[in-house]
This record gives sequence, C-alpha cells and structure tokens, in this order.
Amino acid sequence: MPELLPEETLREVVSLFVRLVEAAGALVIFAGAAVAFVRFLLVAVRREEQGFVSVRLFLGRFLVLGLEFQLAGDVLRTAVAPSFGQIGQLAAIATIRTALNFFLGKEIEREGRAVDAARPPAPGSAGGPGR
Amino acid sequence: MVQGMGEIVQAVVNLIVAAGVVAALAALPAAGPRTAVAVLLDFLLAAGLLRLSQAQTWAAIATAALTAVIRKIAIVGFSLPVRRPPPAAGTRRD
Repeated sequence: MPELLPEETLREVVSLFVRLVEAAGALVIFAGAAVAFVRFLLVAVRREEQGFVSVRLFLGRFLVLGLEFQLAGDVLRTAVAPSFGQIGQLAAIATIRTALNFFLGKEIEREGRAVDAARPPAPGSAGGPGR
Repeated sequence: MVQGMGEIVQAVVNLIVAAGVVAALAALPAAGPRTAVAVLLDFLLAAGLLRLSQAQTWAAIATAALTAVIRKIAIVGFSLPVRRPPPAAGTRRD
C-alpha cells in the first residue's frame, strides 16, 4: 500500500517552511535595523534627545516581531526533529528567544510609558476636570 | 544553499554592527554616553539574534545566547535611573 505522505517528503516540506519563516524573521530584523539607523541619523542631526527613545522603541518592536517569526520556525522544526540532541538544541534556542522576547516586550512597555509621560498634553485636554 | 544563507546572514550581521557603531557615534554628542551605549547595544542585540539563527552546535548556541543575554542585561542596566547620594548631614542650602 503506497504511503499517502512519506516521512521524507514531510521532512522536506517542513524544512522549506522553516527556512522561509526564519528568512522572514531575519528580513524583519534587518529591515528594522536599517530603518532605525536612518531615523537615528535624522534624530542626531536634529539633536532631539527624546527622539532617540522613540527610535529605540521602533527598533525594539521590530526585534520582537523578528523573534516571533524565529520562534514560529522553532515550533515548525519540532515537527521533524529526529534526535534527542537536536530537540535539546531547539529547546535551548527557543528558551533564549522566548526570554528575550519577554524582556524586550517589558522594556518596550516601560519606555513607551516614559515617552507618553514626557509628551506634552494635547491642547484643550489639560487643566480641565474630566467628565 | 544553507552555506550561501549563512554567508548572507554573516554579511548582514557585520552590516548591522557597523550601523550600530555609526548610530552610537551620532547619538553621543546629541544625547550623551548612556543613550549612545544603549543604541549600540540595541543594534548588537539585533546582530546577535541573527547570529543565533545560524548557530548549529552547542558551543555556537551558548556563545550567541550568552552574548545576547549580557547585552540585554547591559541595556537594562543603562536604562536604570541614576540615583544621586543624599546631601551630607549638616550641609545647608542657601
């Protein structure tokens, strides 16, 4: 009886998906770094100290997005990891990425609050009692 | 194909490190050393994340991971507020 989906085919298909997803993650990180670099230079020329925090937040969000793509690749890879050694390596990488993702998220949250606090209130919204 | 991908990632990593150094140098006169180092560490973290995707051996994984963790700790350390020591007892402010 012919196999409906041979293991070798499954392995090749998952491997292709993993490469695509990881390449997408790498692309997101590179694009974020490239755009952040240009924005850093613009902020440096204008000498806006608060602008650096905003651009760091921007870069951090791209790093988190890239990490999530890479974590998706890790999850896909678990489908075909054949040996205990490979599963161990995968677990180590996934743990590192998850921890970095968590701490980057926390930092973005904290810096975002700091940026919001430093921003001047919109005209008409300050001073008056809220309803 | 994997070999070619590794070479591309290595080139991109070098590019990001160079961009980080330039951005940090640009930030130094405008925002001070704390912000400049934080900017540099952000770029180095991005480069470390890309390098981690190419790590195939335990040694490579441990190196990439430790570097990323140290950079993250340094970023957190630099973002902490600087606490000034309280004025010494007996001093008067006029």
